Formats: sequence, structure tokens, C-alpha cells
Amino acid sequence: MECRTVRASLSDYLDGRGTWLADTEVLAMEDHLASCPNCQSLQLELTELRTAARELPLRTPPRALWTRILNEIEAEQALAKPVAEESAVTALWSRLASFRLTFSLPQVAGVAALALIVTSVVIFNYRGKTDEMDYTRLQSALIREEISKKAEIDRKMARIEERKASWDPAFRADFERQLNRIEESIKDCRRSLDAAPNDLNQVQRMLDLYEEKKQLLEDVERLKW
Amino acid sequence: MTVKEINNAKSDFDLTQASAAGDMVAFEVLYERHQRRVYSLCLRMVANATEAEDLSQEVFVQLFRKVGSFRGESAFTTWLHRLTVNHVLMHFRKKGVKLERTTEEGEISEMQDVIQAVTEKPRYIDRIALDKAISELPPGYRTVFVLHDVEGFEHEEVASMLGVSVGTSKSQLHKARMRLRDLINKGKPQRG
Repeated sequence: MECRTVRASLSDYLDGRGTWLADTEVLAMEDHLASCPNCQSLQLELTELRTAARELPLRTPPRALWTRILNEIEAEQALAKPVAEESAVTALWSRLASFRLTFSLPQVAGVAALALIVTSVVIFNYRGKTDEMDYTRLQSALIREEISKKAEIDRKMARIEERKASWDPAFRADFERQLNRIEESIKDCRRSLDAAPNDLNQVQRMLDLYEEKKQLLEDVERLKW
Repeated sequence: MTVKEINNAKSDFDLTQASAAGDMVAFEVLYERHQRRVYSLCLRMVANATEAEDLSQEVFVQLFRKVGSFRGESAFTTWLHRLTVNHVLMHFRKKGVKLERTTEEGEISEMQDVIQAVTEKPRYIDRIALDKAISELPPGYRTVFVLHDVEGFEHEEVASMLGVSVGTSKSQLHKARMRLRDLINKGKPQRG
């Protein structure tokens, strides 16, 4: 088998030698690969490429994206609302028209006021307790995970800073752009958490961002230059 | 209880049901869980951050409209993944992005030029360089590579999504890998 033929079939060989290639072709390729360093090298590179593709880190979108989504959904709902409200109002009127009052007005008002007071007291007590419970859990979880991630990131950052000057300028600019984007998102997330410290989603987002930053630094650190 | 445990207290299916009933908090949790996957997929397919944000927004708005139709027969991640890929492909069609076609045999002329001496080659492909190289691929190659190698779809699935034959999908993938290898080797930074 010639190099050209082997190279043209290498992806088929890597992805599914039993599916895309006949047994005889697989054997012929393996014979060739065992004796040709150039084709062997290409095989190794393509294998590494496939592995690296599966390990690409996830990227975090800007926080503003959720606001945009929410605005669009709310705008859609507002457009759909008048029709729904209209039918609800019509239904209420028809119910009221057929309703026969059997209590006096002061009686109804008294019952309604009592129900309102009881409901408010129950809700206030319940919310106070659950908020306090969630807040405490969140604070301790965030502080614990944040401290450990931040310490690790600071160590990596210090090592990278020492080597950064010798990098290719285009690569350095690319790295700094990615790092700035993550740091801007962290600042944005911190501001949101200052305003609402028990926002579960923001806490998770903060941890995701630290993880993304850590992954970026690890990628750079693994390079040997 | 850790943050993760608190956030994982409800399954995706529970959240879809609550979202379908209009619970925006449930939908926000669903968004927080899957935003990175959706955004990363869009970003890698279109290779443009602004476009990827717009597409992610459209995907989640569409998700909100359709979430009630998710019956839990497959994993929610798979379902959302499909929804995202279809949305991006629709965007390509609207924009008139041409996905390069090749013959099933896939004439690979550039392969004749890639035989290089075995010099000192890195045994590790860094992910930053790979991400950058993917964004430099022509749209057709990029789409097949992202769907197959990054997202893990099989050739049959890729072919069906793109409306091409399995042979074309395989051929485009191989070309994409060869092009990526070139781009990564060319863009390798100088050792300091």
C-alpha cells in the first residue's frame, strides 16, 4: 500500500476500522504503518487531534445574554396576554352575573381581612427561615470552593507571568483577550452577588467562571515553551 | 450540602415541566445548567462571538416555546443539543453559507503536499491553538468537524442533518482534520 492511499484512509481507520474498511484493507494499512515513520507520525497527530477536540473546554456566554432572553420572552408573553386576559375577564363577568350573594358585605370583608393577615404571617415566617437556611449553605459552599479555586489560580498565574514575556506576541494577545473576558465576567458576577448574595445561579456561574479560568491557565501551563 | 447539590436538587425533566407551566425561575435554572454547552456549540460552529450570542438567545427563546413538547424519552441534553444544531444549520441556510461539497471519494489534493519529515513534533495539541484553528476552517469543514469530533455525532447523523451522503461527511471530516493539522503546525509559537 502506498503512502497516499494510507493517508487518504487514515480517518476511516481511526474512526471505525471495522465499519468503514474491509479486514484486508485494515491489515494492509497496519503493515504500512508499521514500516513508514511519516504515516505513523500523521496517524499520531490525527489521533491527538481527535482527543483534543473531545476535551475542548466549554465557554461561558456574557451574563447579559440571560437578560436578553428574558426580555424577549416577556415581550412575547405581553403580546399574547391581552387575548388571555380578555377571556379571563369575560369568564369572571359571566360567573359574577350568575353569582348570588348570600353573605353581607361586612361579613365578607371581615373574612377576607382575617385570611390576609394569617397568610402574610405564615409566608413571612416560612420565607425568612428558608432564605436564611439557603443563604448560610450558599455562603459556606461558595467561600470554601472559591478559596480553593482562587488559590490554585493565583499559583498558576504567577508561574505564567514569569514566562509570558517570551511568548509569540499573537499567542500572548489571544491568551490575554480570553483571560480579560473571563475576568470581566467574574467582576460582573461579583457585582450581581453583592446585590443578591443568595442567588444560586450567580454562585454557580461564579464557580463555572473560576473553572474556565483554571482550564485556560492549565492549557497554557501544559505548553513547554 | 454543596452548591452543586443544591442546584441539582431538581432534574432537567422537572425543570422542563415547571418551565412549560410558566415558571421562569425553573427556566433560569435550566438556562444556567445548559448555557455553556449551547453557547460553546454555537460559537464553534459560527466562529463569531456576537453571532453565537444571538443564536444562543434564539435557541433559548425557542426552547421556552417548545419546552412543553419535551416528553423525557431521551436525555434533555441530547434533545437540546439537536435543537441547537438544527437552529444553527437553519441560520446557515438563511445566510446562504455554502457548506463545501466534495465527491464521495473526496479528492484530497493538499494531502500530497503534507508529507513532511518527522521533525520534533509536539505530543500534545494545545486546546487554545485548536480552538483558534477551528475558527479558521471553511464553514463546511468546520461544521462537520464540530459535529463529529467535538460534539460526538456519528457520520450517519451528520450526513442526515446536513443533507449530504455519509461518504461526503467522512471526506469533509478528513479534509478538516488535515487542514487543522496544517493550521496548528503553522501557528505554533516560537519557543522562548
